[in-house]
Amino acid sequence: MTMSKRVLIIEDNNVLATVYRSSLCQAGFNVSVAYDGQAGLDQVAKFSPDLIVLDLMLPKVDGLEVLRRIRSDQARAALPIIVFSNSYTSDRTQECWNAGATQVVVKASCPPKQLVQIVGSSLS
Amino acid sequence: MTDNHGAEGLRIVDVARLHTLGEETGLGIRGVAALFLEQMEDQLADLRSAIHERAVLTLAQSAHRCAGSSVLAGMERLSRLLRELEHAPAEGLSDAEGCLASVEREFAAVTSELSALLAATPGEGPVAA
Repeated sequence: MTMSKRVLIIEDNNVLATVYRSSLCQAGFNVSVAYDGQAGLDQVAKFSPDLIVLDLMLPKVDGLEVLRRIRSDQARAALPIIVFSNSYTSDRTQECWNAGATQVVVKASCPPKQLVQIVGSSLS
Repeated sequence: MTDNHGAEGLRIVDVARLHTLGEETGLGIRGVAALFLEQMEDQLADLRSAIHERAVLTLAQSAHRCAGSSVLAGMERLSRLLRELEHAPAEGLSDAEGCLASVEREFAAVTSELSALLAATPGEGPVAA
């Protein structure tokens, strides 16, 4: 059942956030969007997501720092966090893994339909 | 820098990709196009301001954001130019100004093509840029 699964998208790009949210809603997920890193951290507490889709290049609090802060909370050690960004170097990718990313996905090569599949399989 | 650097053979708008995106999201081609054009108009203004104010980090971040939505929406030529702009500040802001001029020309071509496409879509009028 995906109906009750909550997905938080932390993404500052309105086009991408809208497209991902629409696709995930179409697939039956309950979706919330935060447009900067601080709002994302606030939403983690309020919305209690089952999974987070996290951009890296974010205003206010950088995505990598968001990831580290979420993982510093023991209660969210196992929360699936899919890092979804175009700003990749091998060092940057390794930093994401070190900080506790569940999956690291290159946005440009991942259409919304594939993101829905990734989210679905991560939550199944 | 040259227009459409490395983008030979790419279409201005990948219509099939745009249609797929419209279907997958339930927004329709018109909804996706309107969303994209609205954001690009705002972001182009931000890019101009960033160059004027010599705000190099803001310029790179805005260009990065625009490039991400452009490639998703099937405007790969535009996305490539925005990637050049994202990295141009490292070479100096005069290069960035040249890149932005190329981006604006390409965006005008995208807007024109999208307007024609949507005007030809049954039951739908031209889209406002």
